[in-house]
Amino acid sequence: MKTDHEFIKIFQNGSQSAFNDLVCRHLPQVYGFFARFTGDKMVADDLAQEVFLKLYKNLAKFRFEAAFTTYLYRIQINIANTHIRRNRWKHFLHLDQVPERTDTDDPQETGWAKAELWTAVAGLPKKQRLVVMMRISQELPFRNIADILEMSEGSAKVNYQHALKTLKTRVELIK
Amino acid sequence: MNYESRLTEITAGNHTIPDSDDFIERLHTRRKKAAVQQQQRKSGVMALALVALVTIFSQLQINSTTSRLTFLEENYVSAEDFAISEQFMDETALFLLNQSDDIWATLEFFDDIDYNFSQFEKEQLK
Repeated sequence: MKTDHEFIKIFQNGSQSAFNDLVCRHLPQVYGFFARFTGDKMVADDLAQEVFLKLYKNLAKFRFEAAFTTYLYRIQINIANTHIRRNRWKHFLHLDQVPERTDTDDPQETGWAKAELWTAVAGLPKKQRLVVMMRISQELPFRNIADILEMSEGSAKVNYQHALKTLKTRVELIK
Repeated sequence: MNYESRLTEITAGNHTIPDSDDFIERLHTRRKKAAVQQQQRKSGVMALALVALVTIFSQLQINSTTSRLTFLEENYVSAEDFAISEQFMDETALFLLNQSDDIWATLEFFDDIDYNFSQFEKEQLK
């Protein structure tokens, strides 16, 4: 079984199938992240596609200095941030006032809690938001989060604690 | 159950991963479409830049032609402006006659230039 870096080298030599293999390998993780994050299959699929499109564009310049997963998480986080920003504008322009029927696997009650939670997460300061997103939806260890966000492990933990404190005051989770 | 576990539980879900072959096919279709659109945007910008350049160049040309025409119009000197009026000739002839030491030489000069002396005489007699 080839490693990510081996696939990338093959892709950089012109093989598109190596890229397809990378997509196959990381699709569950990328899609899962966005599915948890948005609770909407269609949106999650769309955002996952954006991630791999960006990856395709930039993979030729990958320099093998870090683990591929770290690189992929960064792209995911950037796309998630853009999505949050876009939604803020939508909210600001009242484009989201018509209730949309979302295609989701969740029971309705959990769906509401999730929507409320992510709205609260979207309102957190950027660093806290990024740490929470990775910690909650990816269950990544703080050391990995710190690597991805280029901060110290301690800083990641502090940001996470602050974020939880804020979330506790804003979101009352359904028991 | 603490707050963190509850958060994780809420965000966790039984997500059905899309079929990878279908996903990859859609991905490449979207990528190719985006590449074509990007190419079209580039061509559009190039065309726009070209049109802008031609417009600016034409405008400059028009401005310079217009300013040349305006200059010519403002500084136009007609043939009449250059024509020596009869009155001027008569005054010059009178001046020469009054100033000359030899009046016959002056009259000879008038003959040489075919000056209509009779006309001058009529004028003087009036």
